[in-house]
Amino acid sequence: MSDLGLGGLLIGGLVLLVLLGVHIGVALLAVGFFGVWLVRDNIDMAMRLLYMAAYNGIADYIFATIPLFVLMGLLVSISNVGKDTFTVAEYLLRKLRGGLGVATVAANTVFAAVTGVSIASAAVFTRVAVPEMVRHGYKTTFATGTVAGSSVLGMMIPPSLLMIIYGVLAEQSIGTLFIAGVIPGFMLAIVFAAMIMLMAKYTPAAVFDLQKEMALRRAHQVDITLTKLEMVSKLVPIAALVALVLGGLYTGFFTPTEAGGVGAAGALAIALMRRSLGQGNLWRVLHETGSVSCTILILLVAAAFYSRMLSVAGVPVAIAELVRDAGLGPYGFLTLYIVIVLLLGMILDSSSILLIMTPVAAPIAQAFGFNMIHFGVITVLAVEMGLLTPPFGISVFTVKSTLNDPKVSVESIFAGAMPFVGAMFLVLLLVCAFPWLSLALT
Amino acid sequence: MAADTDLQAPPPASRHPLDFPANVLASVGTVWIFLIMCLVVADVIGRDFLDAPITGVAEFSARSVASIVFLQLAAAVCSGRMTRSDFLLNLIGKRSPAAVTALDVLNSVVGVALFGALAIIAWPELRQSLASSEFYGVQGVYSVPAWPFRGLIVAGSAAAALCYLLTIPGILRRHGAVAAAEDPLGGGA
Repeated sequence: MSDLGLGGLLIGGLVLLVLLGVHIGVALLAVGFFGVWLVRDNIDMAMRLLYMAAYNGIADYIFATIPLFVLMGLLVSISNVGKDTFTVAEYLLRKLRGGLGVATVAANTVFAAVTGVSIASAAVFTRVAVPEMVRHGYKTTFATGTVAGSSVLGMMIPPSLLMIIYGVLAEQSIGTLFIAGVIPGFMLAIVFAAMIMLMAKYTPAAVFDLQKEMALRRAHQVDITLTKLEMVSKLVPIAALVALVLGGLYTGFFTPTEAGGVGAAGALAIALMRRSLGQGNLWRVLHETGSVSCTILILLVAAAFYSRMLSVAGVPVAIAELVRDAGLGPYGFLTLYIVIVLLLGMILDSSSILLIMTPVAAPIAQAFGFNMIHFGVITVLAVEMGLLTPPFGISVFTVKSTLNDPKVSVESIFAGAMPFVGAMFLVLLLVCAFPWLSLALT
Repeated sequence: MAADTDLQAPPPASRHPLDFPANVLASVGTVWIFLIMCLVVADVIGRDFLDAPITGVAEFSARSVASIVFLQLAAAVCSGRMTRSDFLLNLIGKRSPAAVTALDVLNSVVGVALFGALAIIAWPELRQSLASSEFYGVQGVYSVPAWPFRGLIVAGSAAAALCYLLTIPGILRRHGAVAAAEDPLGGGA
């Protein structure tokens, strides 16, 4: 069989198994095993490589970042830091039309700097921001869509689990990837905020429940007031944590693993000071950390094995030749790649897309002369759009299940998140066109 | 990413027969993560402020990651938190719950075969490691025996295989009860 036919079989087999509901880690390992066996006609080698993946595949200091950042995110989530940040943003932006929407984006931006998981942001801000927006006369569709949409910032602004996964699979420095995500992440936040303000001004019917808002305005509803001291005391913990983690990473004072460890310890200190760890909460957080980390790390073990199998079979080389023979230049390839990632984003979750696509696409991108850090930022952005695109959008599902309100349909949340998908696409185009957006700080 | 960060208890709907032993294994892994955090912080403080770095933290943490995963694996299987795409399953489930049951069983069978095989492959490596008293580190400075790390691969895979096997009765029972519409096995993000 030709390398290409074989590649099609191996990739197609994986996609089929995943769609049929086989656990993704198991599917990657199984296809990897049979792939090596088939290609080398040698079951001993398949067994040896499988064992090596299990034992050595993730035995690297960098993988310890994952449990540590997960722990930090969870500790921050239960110590009400998200709510405090939102309250301050709400207060500061109270005069602005559409201010609560912008406040959600702003709070998400800050929160993203201490958590690496989008669904953590989605869950926290569904509870914090949606009721507040609805109370102030915003449409539920818009409120939920804003929370789902701005939750993607969690994965773009470092620390980011998707960046770690990409970095591992494409053999790129994770610290550099983190730094590369900073400008695109903030750009995303700014575009979101601008879009909300424009919508509030020009298409208010899409943002507000107009009658309710008018009534509220006439009633001159008294809002929260915060003294300067209260604001500072609400912001200091998270600001300190962000400064510690991002500052440490950026100055090179910490390796990513150390940043994770120190960040988790800092988050623990915040949680202890706020007495959020009583009633078994500490154990629940730790347990959850273990369980989330395990499900991610087993995927990485499996993906490392699978991608080694692909390269043993010569699949990336074969596809690269095909792409080149088809007369696609680097930008043709990039367009095709983004389209495939976006399509996969409609049916698969982000980590699975990265696990399937990166081992195939990274060598090709390298051969085309792309900067692999730039390519990583593009990949993560494109993959993230999949969090919001129907029929399978995990951020939207998280908002829906956290809200637990039968009156709010999944469809309406998808609709509310659509403008954010558009804004992300705009940023994606800009990042593709101007590599320095991701490379300036690195 | 693969799970709800909500700290909700996993759905108690279908308790797995191996829940308890799997959770005991997972708890060891959980404590281990906390330990690594403490070690990393101690190393940073020692290195930067006391001029006394702790040797071997990086290597010990690196080695530990795989062990932690294999300790948690059985619990992830039991509680149905292994990442999975349920997009097509939900579509199929609307037409034919029986097909979904069949696919769920297929999933478990593949899991049993794969982790069973891994446990068997890993066994001779463990014996060899014990026989040769393999260790990590620098002789005379610090050393950590390697066999516990290798042993946890065997134990974790065997436990995961067993857990996959024992999910099958639950799947069949659930099929008897309701259609698989309520699927607690969310995908990841």
